[in-house]
Amino acid sequence: MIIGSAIIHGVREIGTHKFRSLLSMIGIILGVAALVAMVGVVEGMMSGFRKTFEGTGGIEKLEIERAEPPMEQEAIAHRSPKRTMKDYYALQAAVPSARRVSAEKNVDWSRLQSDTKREWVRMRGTTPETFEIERFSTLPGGRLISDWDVEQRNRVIVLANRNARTLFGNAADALGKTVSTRGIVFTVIGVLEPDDTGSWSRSRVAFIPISTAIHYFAEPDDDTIQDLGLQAERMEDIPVLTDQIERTLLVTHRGIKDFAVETRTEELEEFQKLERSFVYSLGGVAAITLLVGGIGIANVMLASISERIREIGIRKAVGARGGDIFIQFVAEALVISVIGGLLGIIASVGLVELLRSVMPEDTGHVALSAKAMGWGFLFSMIVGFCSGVFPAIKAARLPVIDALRYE
Amino acid sequence: MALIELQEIRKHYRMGDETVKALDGVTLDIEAGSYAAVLGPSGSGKSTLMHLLGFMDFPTSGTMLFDGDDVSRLSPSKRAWYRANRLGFVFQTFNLLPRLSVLENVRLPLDYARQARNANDLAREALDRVGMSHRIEHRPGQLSGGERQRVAIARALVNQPKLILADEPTGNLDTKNVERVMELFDALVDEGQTLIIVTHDLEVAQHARSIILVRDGHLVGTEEGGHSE
Repeated sequence: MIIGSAIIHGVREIGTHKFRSLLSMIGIILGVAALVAMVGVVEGMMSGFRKTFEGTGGIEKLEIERAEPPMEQEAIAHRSPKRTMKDYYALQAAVPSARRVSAEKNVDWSRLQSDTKREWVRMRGTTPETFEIERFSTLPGGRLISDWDVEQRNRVIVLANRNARTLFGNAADALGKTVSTRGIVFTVIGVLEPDDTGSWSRSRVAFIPISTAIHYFAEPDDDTIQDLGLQAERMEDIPVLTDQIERTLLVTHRGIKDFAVETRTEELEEFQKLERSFVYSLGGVAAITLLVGGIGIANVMLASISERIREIGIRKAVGARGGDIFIQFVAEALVISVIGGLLGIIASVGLVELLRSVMPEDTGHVALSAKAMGWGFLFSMIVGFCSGVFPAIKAARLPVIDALRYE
Repeated sequence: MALIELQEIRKHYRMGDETVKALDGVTLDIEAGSYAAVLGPSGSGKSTLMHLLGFMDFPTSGTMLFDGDDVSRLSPSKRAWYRANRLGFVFQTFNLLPRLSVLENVRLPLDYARQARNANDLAREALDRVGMSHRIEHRPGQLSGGERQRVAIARALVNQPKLILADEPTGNLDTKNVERVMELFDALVDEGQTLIIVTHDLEVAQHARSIILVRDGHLVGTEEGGHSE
C-alpha cells in the first residue's frame, strides 16, 4: 500500500516539476537509447559475420590450403601435381565420413554481357556442394550447377539476384537467356534468391562449373584449383577427418606434403574475441552514460529533498517511519528512471532508424533488439534505485523536530 | 491509572561546551479525558515537553509511561508507530501538505498506520466532524487559515488518538476562527478526548480544565481551573 501510494506520489511530484524532471531524465534517456542502439549495431555486425561464417561452411568446415612442403621435400616438390580435381574426386571416394567435399577455381572479376547491359561480377568455378555449404538457393524455375555440368564442362551460369536484375531488368527473366564474357557464351540456368546477409561477396557473384572454369579460363597446362574444402558431419569428427584427408592427399600428391588441413576454430575465436571487445567497449560507454544519468537523478533528488524537509517533518510527525520516507524517495527516483528508460527505448527506435539510414548496407543490418531494450530498461531501473538510495537515506534520517522547524 | 506518567524526566542537550537543561526533573500525570494547557515563556522547556509527550523525542533520563507501558526508550520506528496510532497533532502553522488534497492530508496518519481499508471513510467522517466535508477535493492552498486548521484537526482526529497535542493552535488565526477552533476542542473533550494545548494565550488557556506551568525546565505548578471558573 505504502509502495503503491509512494509511486503515485512520485508520478505527481514529477508532474509538478516537469522540466526539472525531464532534465534529470535526459541522462537515462540517452543512456538507454545509446545502449539499445549500440547493441543493435554490434548485433547487426555480428549476425552479418555469423551468417557469412555459417554461409561459408560454418565451424565444421575444413579447408585444404596450399602449404610449403617440408625442407627435406623441397627438391622433389615439383613432382606434386598440386591441388587438382583429382583431389576432389579422391576425397569424395576415400573419406566417406565427410559430409561434403567442394572444390573451386576462381575466375575472378569478369565483365558479363547480356544483350543490352554489362556488369562486373566475381566469377567462381564450383562444384555442386558449394551451394549447400554456402547456403545458396535458386529462384523457382531455375537450377544450380550439377555433377553432370561439372562432368560435361557445360557452359552454364548461375547469377546472383542483384546481377541478374542489372543484366536483364528482372531476375526471373534471366532464366534461359545467355550472357557472355571473354568470348564465351553461358546459358543462365539459375538465379540466386536475394541475399539478406548484407555480404557484398554474396551479392555480386556468378557460378559456373569448375571444369568449365579450368577449361576456358586457366592457362593451358594449369589444372590446379584454388579451394578445396570439406565439411564434417560433426565437430567431433574433425580430428579423424583431418587424418584421413592427409593420408588421401599424400597419395594424390605423390607423398609430398604441400598442403595443410585448416580448421576454422581460430577464425571463430578471433571473431568471438572481436565480439567481446565490442560488447565491453560499447557496453562501457552505455554504462558510463547511465551512471552519469544516475548522478543527475541523485542530484535532483538531493535538491528536491532540501526543498521538502518540512514535508518530511510533517509526514514523520503524523506517523511516517524512516522506512516510509525512504520508500517514498526511492520510488520517486525509480519513477523518474522508469519514465526515462521508457523514453529512452522510444528514442532508441528513432536512433536505430537513423543509424540504418546512414550506415552502409555491407556492415550488416542494425537490429532493434528486444533483449537490449529489456536490459536497457532494467539498467535504468537499477540506476534509478541506486541513485535514489543515498538521498532517500538522507531524507529518512532527518530528525522529525528539526525537519518540522525547518523554514 | 493515568494515561501518561512522567517521572523525573530530564532532557539535556549539549550545545558546544555547555549543557542545556531543557527539562530538569519533571514529574507529571495526565489523566485520560483531561484537558490541559501548558503555559510558559519561550525557552521554558514547554516545547521540549511537547516533543516528549508527542513521541518526537526521548528523555535523557527519567521514566515515561503511556497507558501503563514504559515508553522512555523507544526506537525511532516504535515512536513513529505511536505517532501514527495513538497521537494526533495540531500545529500553529497547520502543517498540511500543499500538494495533497484535503482528504489525502487527513488520511495520511491512517496510511502510515497501515490502515488502508476504510481510510477514506474515516477521513470523511473526521472532516464531517470539523465541518469541512464540503472541501475534500480542495488543496490546502485554496482554503482560509481557519479552514486549514479545521482540516488539521480532522487529521489529528482521524486515527482516534488517545491524546491530541495542539501546539499554539490559534497562533495564526483571527478572533472568529480562534473561537471556532476552541469550540471544536471543547466539544471533543466533552466527548472524552484527552487534549493538551501548548499556548501563550491566556484566553485559550482558560478553556482548559487544568494548567501546567513550565519555567526553566521545571514544572512550577499545575492548577485545576480553566473554563469552569
